[in-house]
Amino acid sequence: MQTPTLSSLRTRGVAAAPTREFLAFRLGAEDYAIDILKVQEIRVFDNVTRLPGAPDYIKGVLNLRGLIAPVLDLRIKFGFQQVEYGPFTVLIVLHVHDRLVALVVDAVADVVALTDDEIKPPPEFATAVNIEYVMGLGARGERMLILLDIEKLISSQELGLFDAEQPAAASDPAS
Amino acid sequence: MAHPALDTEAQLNSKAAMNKLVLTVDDSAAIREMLAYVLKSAGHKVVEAEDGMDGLQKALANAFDLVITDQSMPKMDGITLVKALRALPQYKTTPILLLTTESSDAMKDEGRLAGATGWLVKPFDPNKLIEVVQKVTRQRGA
Amino acid sequence: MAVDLTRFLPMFFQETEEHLAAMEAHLLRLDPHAPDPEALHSIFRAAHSVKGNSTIFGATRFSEVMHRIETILDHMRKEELAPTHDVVSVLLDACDGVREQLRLLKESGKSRPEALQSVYDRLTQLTLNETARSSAFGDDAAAPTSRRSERFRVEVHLPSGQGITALPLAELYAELGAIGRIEDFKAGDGTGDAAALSLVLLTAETQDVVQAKLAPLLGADRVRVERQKALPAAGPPASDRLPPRAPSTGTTEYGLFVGEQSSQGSRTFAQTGVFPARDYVRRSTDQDPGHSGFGRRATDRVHLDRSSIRVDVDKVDRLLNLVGELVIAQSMLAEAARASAAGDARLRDSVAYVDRQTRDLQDAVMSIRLLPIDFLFSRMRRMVRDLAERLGKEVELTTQGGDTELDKEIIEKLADPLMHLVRNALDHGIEPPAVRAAAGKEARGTVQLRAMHRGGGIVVEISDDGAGFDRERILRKAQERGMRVHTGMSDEDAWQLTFAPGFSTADAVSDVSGRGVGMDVVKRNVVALGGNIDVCSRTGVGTTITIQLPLTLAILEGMTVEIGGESFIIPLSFIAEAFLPHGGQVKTITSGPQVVRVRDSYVPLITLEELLHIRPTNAGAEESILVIVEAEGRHAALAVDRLLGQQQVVIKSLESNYRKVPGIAGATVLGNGRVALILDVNALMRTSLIPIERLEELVLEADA
Repeated sequence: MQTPTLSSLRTRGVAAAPTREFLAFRLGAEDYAIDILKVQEIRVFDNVTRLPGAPDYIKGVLNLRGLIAPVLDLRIKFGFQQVEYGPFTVLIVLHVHDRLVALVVDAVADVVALTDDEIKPPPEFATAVNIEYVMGLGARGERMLILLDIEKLISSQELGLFDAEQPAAASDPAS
Repeated sequence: MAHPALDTEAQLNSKAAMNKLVLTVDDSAAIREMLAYVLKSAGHKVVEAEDGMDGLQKALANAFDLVITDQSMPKMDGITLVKALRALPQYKTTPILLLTTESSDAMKDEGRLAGATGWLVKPFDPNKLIEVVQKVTRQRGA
Repeated sequence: MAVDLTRFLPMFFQETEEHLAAMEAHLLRLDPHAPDPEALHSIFRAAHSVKGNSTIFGATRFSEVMHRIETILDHMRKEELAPTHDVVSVLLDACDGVREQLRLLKESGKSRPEALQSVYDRLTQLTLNETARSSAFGDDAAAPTSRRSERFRVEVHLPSGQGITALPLAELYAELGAIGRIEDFKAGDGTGDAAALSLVLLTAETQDVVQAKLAPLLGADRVRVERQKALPAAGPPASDRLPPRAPSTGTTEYGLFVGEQSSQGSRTFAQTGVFPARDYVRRSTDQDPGHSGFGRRATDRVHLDRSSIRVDVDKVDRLLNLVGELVIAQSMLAEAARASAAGDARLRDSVAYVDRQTRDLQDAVMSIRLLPIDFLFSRMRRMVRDLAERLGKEVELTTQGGDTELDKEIIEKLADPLMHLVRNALDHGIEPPAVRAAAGKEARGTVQLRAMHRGGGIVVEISDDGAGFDRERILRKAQERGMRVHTGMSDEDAWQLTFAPGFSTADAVSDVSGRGVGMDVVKRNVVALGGNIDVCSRTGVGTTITIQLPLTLAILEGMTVEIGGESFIIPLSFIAEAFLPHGGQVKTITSGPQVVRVRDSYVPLITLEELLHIRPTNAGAEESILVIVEAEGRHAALAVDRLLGQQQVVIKSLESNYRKVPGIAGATVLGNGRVALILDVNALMRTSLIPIERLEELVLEADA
């Protein structure tokens, strides 16, 4: 199967009511979705260079047309049991807070336009994800999409992707 | 192309008065840019030189319709440049304007003695610049 | 109308700042006994330009101050006033004052002219003060420190009837322009004895050189070059020789000498300034040109390179990035070519050709970012002058190799450490005149800054002929701080102690440099630049501090190695050697760590497993290739699986999209498109090393 491109996914019909667009993808057994505006591109999972000393959910770094970006596997972060890297494993490249981050997902589904009616408040029951990062539930027919606040998640302290602040060079602790 | 900020009067005048080849000589890039901006928007072509010697060399290599030069510059000042230009047959009657600061009466006298055509006060009013350029180039039958 | 031209206001501000900086630079170098005429002229012109520009800003006070300076310079030119230390101080203060007001004007649209009153008065005093006009101009036999420029009268005589058009003017002017300044010009009409051409040339070249340059062009017998002592004759005032002019009514915008009347323009422009600075401040958010770290553009006006253009720093950086990417793309191409059609000679040749062109392009583009280090050296002059005065010491700053070029970024980051070292030299190095005299030294001490290319990098030396490091004091302080000290330790090792964090031997915390922000920070900054620092000192004689730096920060020469299936880069500057160990070379100490015997000494093995969680594929260090690295004077061994090759790599940051990773200095993209991490050798050594003394003990234990 060819890696889906963003444009190829946008061939669905246009909803009549004001909508927001989301990119839906699969992590393990669940369907998630994120704001399409944060997505830069979709790539094959390949050529990731490991980073020493990094937490296990950071698989390493990747060369994105000359820029070095971290690769994040949320399945590991969320504690999924079965984590595989197969032919359907795909990277979603996000552009968040002026940085590039790549997300490992099991498969990318499609672009979904949801009206406000179709977005329900976040569920009471526990999801794999911390409720803090769930914006709501998207219901479209029988599908349930867990809408992630990906920006909040990516920049969260617990993921520790970014330094809190860069210390001034002169007083950089040596060890 | 007409520059909106300048007087349309200048442009209504004879087309022949436009399109002169002008040499601007000044060690200040800011002044050179200002001169170029105004002159070009009035339809003239501009060649820049950054000091008197540079100006002299460029003058030798081209046939300018008009020379506008600053006074205080490295290598060779404006008055000396005027003298050197007037010694060349091809620039005997070419209009040469000296850019002067307001207070230099003695400079104006020296300029006249050296053979300059006229003077222009720095900083210049764009309209006045176009006006005097027109006057001197038309006068000389250029 | 004025509104349209405000786009030029930033340029005027920039130029004025540069003129003021140029004035300062020239003033600092003036020889009070024999000031260089060309330098005086440059200062005069710069003051004149600032005066002119102040009209544009509507700042009359500047104009008045500059006018005073012009008058003073004129007196100097005529040798009526000597640029003594005190005179120069007044002029420097004037420049400072105007510079400060200019800054205020730029930032807030308003300046405080009354702040210039005091300096204006001092300048006025100078123009009136007879005693300042001294015979402090000694005879020329008092050897000037640098070649002074001189005036020569150049006359060209041609057979009667020939005028200057018979001369190769273009070449003549080119030749003259290259060596100096033309001050007077007269073309004869070819009649009688008069010279066809007579001019005055102000040049630093000797008479012989001038003659030698002009003779081939004009004919040796036709050109006469004579020294001209006096300034070109002023002659009767110009106005006496002219027919009386019609009195001008008010100030006019322009005037013609013949024919048409002058225009009767308004005074607005000349009087109030074309663009009152207020307007500028409102618009300044869109129009301020990018400033480099120094608040100046990349070209330094003091070194007036006449054939240069201004380029926005951002544009250069972008160009550099693109070239960096090209280098990576080219190596990908090379790799692909290697992998595919191995026998295709044409492809191989083409790729090799592209490789050469890319490298040349890279060198050429990197050289755009190079600035002469004199950019930094000249900043030191003012500081040394002011500080020496404050400390009551006599110090001369000399420089050598100021035209050595370094990457702009390195220069910017070197500024603080260098300034600190020079301050140290003044503060702790050079002794007060009385002390020096008692020690049989000249009262005036020397601090020398030297820069040169060496071994593919740059070396910067700061030396002084002062008191040198005080060994006893250093050892004592070190002991107080609990550092390992033995009385028998070599001088070199003793000096190294001063690089320890928080070390400072200044007893009284002088406000100048003794605050414990000492050599350790200087060293850290230098190391962060990929360089290193060394001290050589002899008590009572002086000190030399040597800083070694790479040519550029963006690219490094690295050795690609394979460890545990991944590629890493070790910067070549850290690698001392690499080899396959033979049996028995690797020893294990009882407590666990391993050491490697290299010739006569033992070198600790850095355990990459612990530090970086990488495990070499090979079973043990004995099976691996050992790379001996050296940093901060110490050695260590790294075990790697394979050496993949040496190459230039473009350094990319991890921090821009991720964060700093301990032990890793950066990343790069290899020819196969994969990311390779660059090892931070300094960090690795710091975190894992067994102190050398311990090492020896442990080995002895193990052997026993």
